[in-house]
Amino acid sequence: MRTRFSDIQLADPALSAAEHELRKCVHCGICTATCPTYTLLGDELDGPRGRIQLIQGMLESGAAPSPTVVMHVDRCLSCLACVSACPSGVSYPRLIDEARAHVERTFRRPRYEAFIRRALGFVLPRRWLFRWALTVGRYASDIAALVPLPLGSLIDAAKKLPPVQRRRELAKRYPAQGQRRLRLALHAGCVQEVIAPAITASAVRVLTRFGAEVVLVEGDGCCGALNHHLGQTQVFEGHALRLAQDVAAHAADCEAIVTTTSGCGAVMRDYAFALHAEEGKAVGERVRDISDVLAELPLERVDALPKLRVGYHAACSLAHGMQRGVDIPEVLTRLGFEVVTPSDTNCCGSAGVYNVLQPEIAHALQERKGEAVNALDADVIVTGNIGCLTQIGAVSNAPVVHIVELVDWATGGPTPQALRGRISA
Amino acid sequence: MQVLRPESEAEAAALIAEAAANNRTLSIEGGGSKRHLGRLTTPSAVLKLDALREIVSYEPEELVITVRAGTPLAEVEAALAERNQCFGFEPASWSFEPAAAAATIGGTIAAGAAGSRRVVLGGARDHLIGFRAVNGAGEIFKAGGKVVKNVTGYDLPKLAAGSFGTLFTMTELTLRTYPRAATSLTLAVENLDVDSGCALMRRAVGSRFEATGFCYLPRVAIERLGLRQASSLTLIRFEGDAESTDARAHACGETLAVPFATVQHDDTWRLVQQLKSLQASQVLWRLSVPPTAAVGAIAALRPECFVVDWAGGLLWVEPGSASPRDVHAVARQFGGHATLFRGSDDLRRGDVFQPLDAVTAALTKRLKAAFDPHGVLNPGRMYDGV
Amino acid sequence: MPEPKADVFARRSALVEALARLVPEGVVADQDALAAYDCDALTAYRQKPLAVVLPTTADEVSAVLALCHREKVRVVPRGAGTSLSGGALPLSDGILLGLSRMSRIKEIDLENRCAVVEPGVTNLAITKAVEGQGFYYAPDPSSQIACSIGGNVAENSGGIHCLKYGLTTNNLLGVELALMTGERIRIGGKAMEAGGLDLLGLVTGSEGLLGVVTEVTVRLLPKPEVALASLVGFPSIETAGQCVSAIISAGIIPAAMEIMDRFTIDAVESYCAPGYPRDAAAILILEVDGIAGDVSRLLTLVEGIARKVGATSFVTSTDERERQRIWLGRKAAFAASGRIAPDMLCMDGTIPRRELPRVLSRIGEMSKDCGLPVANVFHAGDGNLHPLIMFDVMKEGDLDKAEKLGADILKLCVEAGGVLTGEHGVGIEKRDLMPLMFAEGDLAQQERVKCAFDPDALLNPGKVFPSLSACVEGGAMHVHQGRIPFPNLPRL
Ligand SMILES: Cc1cc2nc3c(=O)[nH]c(=O)nc-3n(C[C@H](O)[C@H](O)[C@H](O)COP(=O)(O)OP(=O)(O)OC[C@H]3O[C@@H](n4cnc5c(N)ncnc54)[C@H](O)[C@@H]3O)c2cc1C
Ligand code: SF4
Ligand code: SF4
Repeated sequence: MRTRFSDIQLADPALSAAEHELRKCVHCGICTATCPTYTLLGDELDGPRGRIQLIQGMLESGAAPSPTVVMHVDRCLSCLACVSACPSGVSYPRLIDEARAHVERTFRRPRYEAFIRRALGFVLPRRWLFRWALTVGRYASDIAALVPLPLGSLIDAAKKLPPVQRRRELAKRYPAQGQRRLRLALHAGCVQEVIAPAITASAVRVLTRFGAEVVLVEGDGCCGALNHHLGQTQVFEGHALRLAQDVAAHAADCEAIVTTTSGCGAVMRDYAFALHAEEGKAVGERVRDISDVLAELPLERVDALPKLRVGYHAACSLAHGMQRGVDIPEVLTRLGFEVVTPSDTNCCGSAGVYNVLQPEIAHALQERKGEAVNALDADVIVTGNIGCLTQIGAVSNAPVVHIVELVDWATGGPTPQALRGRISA
Repeated sequence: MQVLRPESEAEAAALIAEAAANNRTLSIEGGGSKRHLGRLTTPSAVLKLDALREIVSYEPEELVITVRAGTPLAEVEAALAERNQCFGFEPASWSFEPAAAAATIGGTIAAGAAGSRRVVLGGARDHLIGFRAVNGAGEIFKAGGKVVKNVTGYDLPKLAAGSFGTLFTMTELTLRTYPRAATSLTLAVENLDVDSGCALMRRAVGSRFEATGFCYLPRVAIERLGLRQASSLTLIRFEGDAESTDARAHACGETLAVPFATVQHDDTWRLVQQLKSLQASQVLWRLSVPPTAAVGAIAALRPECFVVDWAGGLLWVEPGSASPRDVHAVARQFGGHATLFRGSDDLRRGDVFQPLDAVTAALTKRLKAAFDPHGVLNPGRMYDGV
Repeated sequence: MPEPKADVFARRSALVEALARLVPEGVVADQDALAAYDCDALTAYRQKPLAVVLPTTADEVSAVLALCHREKVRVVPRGAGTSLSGGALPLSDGILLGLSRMSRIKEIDLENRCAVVEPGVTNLAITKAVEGQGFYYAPDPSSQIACSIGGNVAENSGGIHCLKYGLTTNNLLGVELALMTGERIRIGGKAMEAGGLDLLGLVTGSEGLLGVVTEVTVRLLPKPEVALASLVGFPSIETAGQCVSAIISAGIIPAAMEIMDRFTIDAVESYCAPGYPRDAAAILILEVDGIAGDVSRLLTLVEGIARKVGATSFVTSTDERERQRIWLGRKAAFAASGRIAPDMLCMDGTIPRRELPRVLSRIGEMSKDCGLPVANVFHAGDGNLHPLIMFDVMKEGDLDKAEKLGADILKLCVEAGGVLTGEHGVGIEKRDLMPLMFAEGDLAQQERVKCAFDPDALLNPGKVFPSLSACVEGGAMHVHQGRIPFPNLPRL
């Protein structure tokens, strides 16, 4: 497609990368119908092709976009379904990320909204602060009615979470059981560590059980994804750099950097671009999702395993962000589970802090996903991303667990908490 | 009545222009075999196109044939048969008169005369891909093309099929052709009541066995045809090479789980196309309805005799005592439409085609005017003023 | 395009307000946002509309049309905006009427083998809704994941399976149509034939010039017992073309026959790795369906023919996944062109099959002469060519060169006995080429049809017809007395 950038603009690497993608887009519209917000709202401004055009307009002009344009850009989930759909190979993240940064730089949001975004970007990546906020949130039910919608839904979300657990002390290194076959670095996300620390524990158990030595890498505990999606570029880069440095310092000898939250993995994979530094490349090239790693481990099931009907929801960050997910259900089939997938393959609406910032759309997507998931009549729903876990957990009839928890259980670990009392071994 | 017989398209155009200039009206005719169809009109003269008789070009490997409008259907079909082809829509030689043999290709298409295969392969409308014609002002124009896949400009060939010569006079037609099946095999089920017979046909048409005909004959119809004794016949036809038809007919019969017999080259299909079992009555209606509505429509009309074709989509009905108004009401009630196919002159002065709602009627009139502003061509044949 | 109406611009804000009253939450008027609606999949022409309206119900559509009719404001309907001919290109003084919010499947009636849907439902969504019960909607344009059924009706879209199963027009039972006045008519329904003149056939393929489709009843077909796709490799695209003619001449009509050249094969391989033969200069993808026995017999026959013509390889899918992947590659072909060049023009002429080898090699020469690469991926069974002209709009003169080459290719098609467009529509793109195929009188006759539906020329004017002659009141046409009117001896 034609673009109209000046040479000065193109000297900026981020703009130049965006321009490269804009040129590749042939405006065919194949992506639109795969976009959750388009299918929901029926306006091309809420679809990828429309957004690409809005983004092109704002980046070319360099000026602050109109509030309408910002609204439509904000509504993007960054689920990247459009990337999987695009035959021309347009890398949409280059566009939406730059657009978010551009909005953040040039657009004055209403004061209240700006505050919420800043608060989210500040609190969530800090485990101690987030834990504290949740505790307050839990008691804030009466306040919820009084506060405007976005904050209200955050409080709602907090109330639905399991009670906050104190964080276990994590060791830095876990030896492989038996003969060591490989060495893996494990990144435990920030939000996940607060609301579902059992996932990291399961991951450590499964990986070590099948011959991996596991090294924990944390940086400041956050990969920066949340800030990234909020357009808070500098904060994101700070987090990313620290994590990359941590990896360089402690995990240089690891074959892969494993994430148990595909939302983090999808962003970390792109560190090379964000950081323009060797450290970034060293992370980006080696990041793998735990599901992907599980697919290659010589998993062996324990004998006394009930034959469960498992509903598998592929997180967008895994399926589209990391372009994996198609054959992940096979991991579960191999363990003797019956695997079914929901008819609705759209994003569940969690999408990082999206459910807080765009509660109405997130809610509609959640409902739709809930219907599809419940139609499966499964014993348990499995996914690989903390956001989906909580989002689907709120509407699913069946308990929802992380894939690594189920695999852990199936190969000798403890029964996942969500299944205790609901399924007899 | 004066009969004008143009020898060329140019002559036809001149005659029509002259009629338009002199406020005369023309009845457009091919062989005259479908004179009884449509409303009764009182034209000043007949424009008979049977002299425009020629196969202009026939390219079997392109599955396309171009013919002048007045070429006898039989002649065209014979040419196709020579190259092992046919018309996919199975042109029906509906007729009660010996003139059936005179049916021309132009008239066949203008009347939309499709047979049992229409349910699968489409009607006359789906097989006419281009034409040349003269409009009501005497102007020659063409539409469509000579290749099957074509969306250049409005699809006027669709409009031509079934327009009963009320819009323009076709002089040359380009049609798609179809490979001719080596054999046909009919799966016959006896003694089903109309409800079960229609249900069976719907299951068959929704199955994977690619049958090309689905019709149901009640006892009266069977008796009139002088066929074997049965209280009814449900017929499902398979076409193709012998091995294929055999496999499909038997697989279909087993899936339907009813006792059946198979008949090779069953002549009944031809008799059905020719409406042989419906010749006893002076009044005959043709209803096109959603297949599930067939039984209800028949019950509502309580006909003396009827034939169900297109798996329930087409009903031929001798309406007994039902008036045109009744028949149209029933057709509307069941989501379809009815056409008086044969009736007295008196009946043919009233509503022959299903009455249109006001907006569609007005649009139809404007459309007529767009082609035939002076009302020269078959005026009133379809509706008052059209 | 028709001269914009200055008075409409002057009334813009009042109009936007009135529209917002009729369709609350459904009007886009922000200038920056309107940029995203400035074209469909033909990007060479762009124009922001006066405003976009996104109704949710047929009543809202009627209300918008009635208002525009009263106010003499032009309207351009839009489905999913995937038209390749610019059919949905907005007018600066016109409302863009988007049907994307009308996306409900209203009824699935398998007993009558049909589905009743709103116009914004995507083509693929219909099949998805019924495939569980063993049915499907046959026409399958490559854009089926995105394009709307309303757009399909307006364009009379085809697809890879229309060789055997027909285009959109052959698979419809009825529509509800809103006229420019806002009045709605029902044409057809669940019965096989509609009564009266075949308005359904006329409206299908009318490119949004006659009315706005507000509901569609489509015919559903039972899924075949077996469908197998074969990949046949050829040493040249011409031999692949010969093979297609040979198969049809043998009286065989496969479910699909598609040809792709090396260029496209490479682009698609990097998108979804469908496993096309690496050594072939062109491939023929051929699908045969039916009951198992028939399919295997036909495949043997077809393979024999292909080998005789010079096929270098013949591989048949072994399971449904493989077949789907083969087609995924084919369906991605246009859209994957962005991997080869930043811009493409997709031509769409149809020619008699026997002309395939000659026309294809001529297109190759023309491409060389003008220096723009042309990829060929097309519905070979129907003789429906899709030369994809690759260019770069940002290179001075490239667009002009591409358009000229495109026009020359279409001229070539018409000369070969073919037509300008087989399934993508005339739109704005081929409008000025219409005289290649039709004489003035032919076009005048078609325009009078437009007048019968929309005498004020408010609905999508400027598309399809090179000149927009005013409609004559009362339909009065001149009859030249004494002079035999032959103004239109065909030009070709
Ligand atoms: C990658 C790609 C592949 C394609 N492959 C094929 C193919 O294989 N076969 C094929 O035939 N086409 C193909 N197309 C073209 C296009 O997808 C079709 O023409 C499609 O039918 C357009 O549908 P739409 O909903 O996008 O309509 P739009 O592009 O929005 O509109 C197309 C036309 O229809 C009119 N219109 C839309 N909706 C309505 C309505 N409800 N009532 C009245 N008028 C309306 C518009 O005014 C316009 O004139 C392809 C396009 C792309 C981009
Ligand atoms: S990332 Fe998801 S929400 Fe955003 S445009 Fe793409 S498909 Fe739509
Ligand atoms: S699918 Fe790709 S090329 Fe097509 S419009 Fe979407 S982003 Fe652009």
